[in-house]
Amino acid sequence: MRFEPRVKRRPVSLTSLIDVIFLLLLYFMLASSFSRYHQLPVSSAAAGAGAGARPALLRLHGEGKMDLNGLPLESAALEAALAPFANDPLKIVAVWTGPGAAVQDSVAVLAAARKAGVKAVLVSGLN
Amino acid sequence: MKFRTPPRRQMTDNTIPLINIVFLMLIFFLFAGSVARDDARRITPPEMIQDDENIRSTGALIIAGEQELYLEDKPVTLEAAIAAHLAKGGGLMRVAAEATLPSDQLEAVLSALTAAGIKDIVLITRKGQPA
Repeated sequence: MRFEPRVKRRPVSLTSLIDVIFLLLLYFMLASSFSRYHQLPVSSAAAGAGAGARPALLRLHGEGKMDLNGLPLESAALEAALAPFANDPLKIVAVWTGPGAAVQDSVAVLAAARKAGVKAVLVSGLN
Repeated sequence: MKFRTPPRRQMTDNTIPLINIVFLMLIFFLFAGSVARDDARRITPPEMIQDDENIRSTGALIIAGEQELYLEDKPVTLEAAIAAHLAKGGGLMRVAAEATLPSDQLEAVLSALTAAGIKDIVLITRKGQPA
């Protein structure tokens, strides 16, 4: 039985490995983005409120000013004011935005309504 | 005459920690970032404290200003965006609007989308506490 003589291997150079890793690192550093987005459904699907229920009108005037059915409302008290409409598909809150209201205001109200379990719809074209 | 054999090049010891760090950074960026194109980077979407599913902004309709719509980083008209969405078979429509924009402009776009028969619409928001 004959053993082959051991071939002495030269150690692999690490330089090329580092090169490749550096390139990968650069690529991922420059190409990746860290912004995370969430979604807020605004679809008006299944609008089955034909039962004659009159929607409550929540008007946004911008800069935190709003009123519900004509009564002024603080944005801190919004959650409590929305509570009577919770979990009732017949009770709808229509959100109307005045010229001073920004997208941020309506998103805040819609998110609060969603959190409270209130069916809220954005209405438009009533200016 | 006898030449001295050149000494074997030896990796200096402080290269190994360097590789370690670089490797760690590579793994961090691989896992923490996402390579998908962020179409909504030209605007700042509204903030919402509520936690919901994460969503990508790639391919969303971007409302950057009045009559200033972008789809896949290119300016489009509303009609063209609707046509492009319907040509893709409809489905979920993602809309991202600049937070400081008047809400009326968002509603104009939304009602045009609804009138065109697009029913599933979601707004893209950032996570955060609204000021």
